[in-house]
Order: sequence, then C-alpha cells, then structure tokens
Amino acid sequence: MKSFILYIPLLSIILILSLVGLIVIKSINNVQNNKILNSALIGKPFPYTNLKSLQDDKEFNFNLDTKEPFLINFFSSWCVPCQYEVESLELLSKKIKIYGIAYKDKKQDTIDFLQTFGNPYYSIGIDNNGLSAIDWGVYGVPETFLINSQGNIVLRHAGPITKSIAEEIFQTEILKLKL
Amino acid sequence: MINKAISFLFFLITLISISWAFNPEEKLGNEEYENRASSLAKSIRCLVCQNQTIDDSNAELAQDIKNLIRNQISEGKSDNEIKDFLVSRYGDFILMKPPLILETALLWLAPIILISIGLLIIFFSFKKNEKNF
Repeated sequence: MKSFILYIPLLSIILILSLVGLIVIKSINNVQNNKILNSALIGKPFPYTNLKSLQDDKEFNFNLDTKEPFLINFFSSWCVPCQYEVESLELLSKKIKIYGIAYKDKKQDTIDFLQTFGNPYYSIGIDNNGLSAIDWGVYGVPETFLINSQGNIVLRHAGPITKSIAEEIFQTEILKLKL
Repeated sequence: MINKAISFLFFLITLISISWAFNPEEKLGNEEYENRASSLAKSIRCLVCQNQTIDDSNAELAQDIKNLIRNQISEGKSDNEIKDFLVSRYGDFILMKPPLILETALLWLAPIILISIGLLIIFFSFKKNEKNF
C-alpha cells in the first residue's frame, strides 16, 4: 500500500511534464502554420448565410457555381478601422473576389460609406441583427475570412487589414490557394 | 385630497419605471424557457469583456448571443445543442467552465498533482522522523 502511494506523485509529475510537452509542440505547429488568430472555424466549411443583398434586396448569395477562393469581410459604416482597410481591400480585390457583409448598419449609411471610401466588394449582404456574424464566430468588425475553392475557411483576420497584412499574409495565402 | 393626488402620481411614476425595466421584446413569454435562457447565459463568456458572462454584460455582442440563445430555445433546442453551436463558432473559450481536453488538462489536473506532491513531502518527512526516534 505504501509503495503504491509513493508512485502517485512520480506518475503525476511524468503526466504533467508530458502534457506541457504536448502543448508546446502543438503551439509550435500553430505558429508554423501561420495561424495568427485561431478561429474555431478554421478548416471547416463556411456557414450558410441567409441574408438580403444590398444591391437589389434579393437573397444574397456567394457565387458558388464557380469554384474559386474568395474573401468575406464583415464591415460597418460606423466602424472607423473599416475605413482604413478599404484601400488594402481594393488592392486584394484585384486578385480575389471579396464579398462584404454590412454588420448592424443602416442601408443608406452603408451606401454612403461605399461612396466616400470606395467599394472593394463584388457583392454585399446585409446582416441587420448580427446573427449571421455569430454564425461566423465574429467578435466585432472588421473581420475577414479567406475561403478556399472547396468552401473551407482557411484564414481569419480580426481587425483592420493594413497594407502589410494584405501583402504578407493575405496575398501569400491567396497565391497558395490559386496554385 | 392633495395627498391622495400626490400618492397617485407616485404610483404612476413607479409604473413607468417598471415598464422601463422590463423589455418585452427580449424576454421569452414562457417562464421555463426564460429561466433556461438565463441559466445558460450565466455559463457563456462575453467575448468582448471576457471576464464577464453574457448574463452580466451589456455589450452588444453579448445581447445578440443572449437573443440567439432565446431563439434557439424557442426552436426546441436542448441546452447542450446550444452550447455545442456556440463552441463550434467561437471555440471552448466561450464557455466559462472549460471542458477537459488536452489544452486544459493542466488546469484540471494541477490540484491533484499538487496534492500528490504535498503527500510525497509528508510521507518522506514522516519516514525521516521514524529513523530519528
């Protein structure tokens, strides 16, 4: 009995060390895979989004017939960082289709925003109550997702896309998907 | 007479404050559902304020998630189904009580491990004392 009790601490120390080891190895892998901000949806199919389109009030759809990668960007006219990322998004829109989702915004405000700062979007859906954003695991605007040709989410970026993030992260990942 | 009028006025004022406190749009009519919604809300983390539950938080995202919980309860979903849905969107971090998985194993096992180390120390110090006597 005594010798059995003696082994418990030893076994627990071995357990604790192996757990620490496993976690360290896992986090090193994550860094190597360039997952800067982990989303629970990475590697999973993108969620179905039932929204109205800004352009014509009809149902908003991603162009799913053409199997190609695309970006989806949650934005809002009341979101100041969103103004600053328009330039980077316009840069990226030359390489990939960008769908916008207007998060908790008034329709006219969205239209004014696009006229003032530019429109990098191929098509825009309206998420009035923010429920679609929860489907995508969005914390707040702006947030951007990269979806591959199989319809899986490969990258999520929370916060504005600066020029360097656009060039270093998004362009590299887009290039990888198009190869 | 004036006294009566004043107390009636006060009564009216209390009615106004009651109507402010209760937002009928947000709450569910069914009391059992509403209780479930609020107990679920106590176990879900507010992602914007992080150390609050969405039940405590007035952040917009927290309110939206609360409404989503109410919607899903009305649709007849179970508490676990709703939790699973939120975890699939936001990860385990959204639960105030983390589940036992590899990343959280240390958190859950640390007390057991520390007690074991303590027992080891006690065991050895008793053994040492035995020799001295």
